[in-house]
Amino acid sequence: MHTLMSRRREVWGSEGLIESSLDDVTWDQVKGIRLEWLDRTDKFYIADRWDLLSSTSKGQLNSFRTALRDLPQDHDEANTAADNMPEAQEWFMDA
Amino acid sequence: MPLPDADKKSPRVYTNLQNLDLDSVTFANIQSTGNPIAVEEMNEDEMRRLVLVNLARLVTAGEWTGLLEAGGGGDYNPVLPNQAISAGSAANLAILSGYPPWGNGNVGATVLYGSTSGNKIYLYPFVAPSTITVSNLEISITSAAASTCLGLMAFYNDNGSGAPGTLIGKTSVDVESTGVKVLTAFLDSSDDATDIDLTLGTTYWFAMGRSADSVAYSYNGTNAYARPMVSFADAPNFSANAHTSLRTISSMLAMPASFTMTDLEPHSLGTMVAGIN
Repeated sequence: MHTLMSRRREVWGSEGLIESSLDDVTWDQVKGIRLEWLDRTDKFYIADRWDLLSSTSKGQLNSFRTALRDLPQDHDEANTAADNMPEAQEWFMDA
Repeated sequence: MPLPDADKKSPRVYTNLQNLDLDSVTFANIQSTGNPIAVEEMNEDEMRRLVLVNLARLVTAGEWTGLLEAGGGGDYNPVLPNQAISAGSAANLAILSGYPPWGNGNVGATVLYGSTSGNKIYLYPFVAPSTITVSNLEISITSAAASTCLGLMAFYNDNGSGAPGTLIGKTSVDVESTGVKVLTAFLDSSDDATDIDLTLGTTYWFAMGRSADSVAYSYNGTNAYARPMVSFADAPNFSANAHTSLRTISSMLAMPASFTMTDLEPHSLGTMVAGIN
């Protein structure tokens, strides 16, 4: 599975992991990632590609995009929206 | 005959250089003669003579380096972003993969293949936006490796012909978790601590790879669709994006001290977004 947005920040030095924290994100950042993945998955809805998908894949795609669309109404804060972004199936990355 | 409207007397230029001919006079001679001359109206005649002698010297010697470079013609002139643009801004990273002439800002999640074909080193060039000793290198891992794996990153000099040269410094980080990785320690080819020193306007290469055989991970990468070509092509009928990065032909799970040109090939993989400060 592919994580769309991780707020985790790690600082590494010569002795390994020095510190770990969570970045604050803005709604603009959340919106940018959300739009990127809606764009990226649009192509699967073209008829010739859609017809090749299994019912499982179609369900994964529809659920993923619905969750993305619902983010602004489901979360008041950008940070919580980022933390609750749906994960993408690896096959969504296909060109 | 003296220069038009010039005092016939030349207190420094012709006095200092009188026993030299144009073939033997050096830039050092010109420099030491001109160095004490203040830029002011009363010295106009001597400055004219100095320019005349140096131009004649360059013509005779066929050596135009000083004229071309000191005059500004050979420098890389564009100023690339290298400072925060508002007070208190957290935007303090120079994104090497995004600057002209080699980069672009169109980014997205990119997979380093989970097969042996991904066991290679991938490279792209960038021009340093400032003279800097790199304190932090920041990358973003968007999909974690499923088993033990280090992401490998390195900086290389250009070999002077638009291809990667010798290693400047390398680093690595655990990619079994997602998020921003800030890397603060770098090693040379002997694995001793080193600095990454970059010079404004100079071309370098950024390299990425992995330490484990066939272990996939994803990162925020630049979209190859808007990147310029970084290599020659065999013919004009190549496929889209086929030359927007380089990669090794051989499998490599560690950063080499340098590359063999015959072991590099053009490639299309979206290259890792790398920010420095």
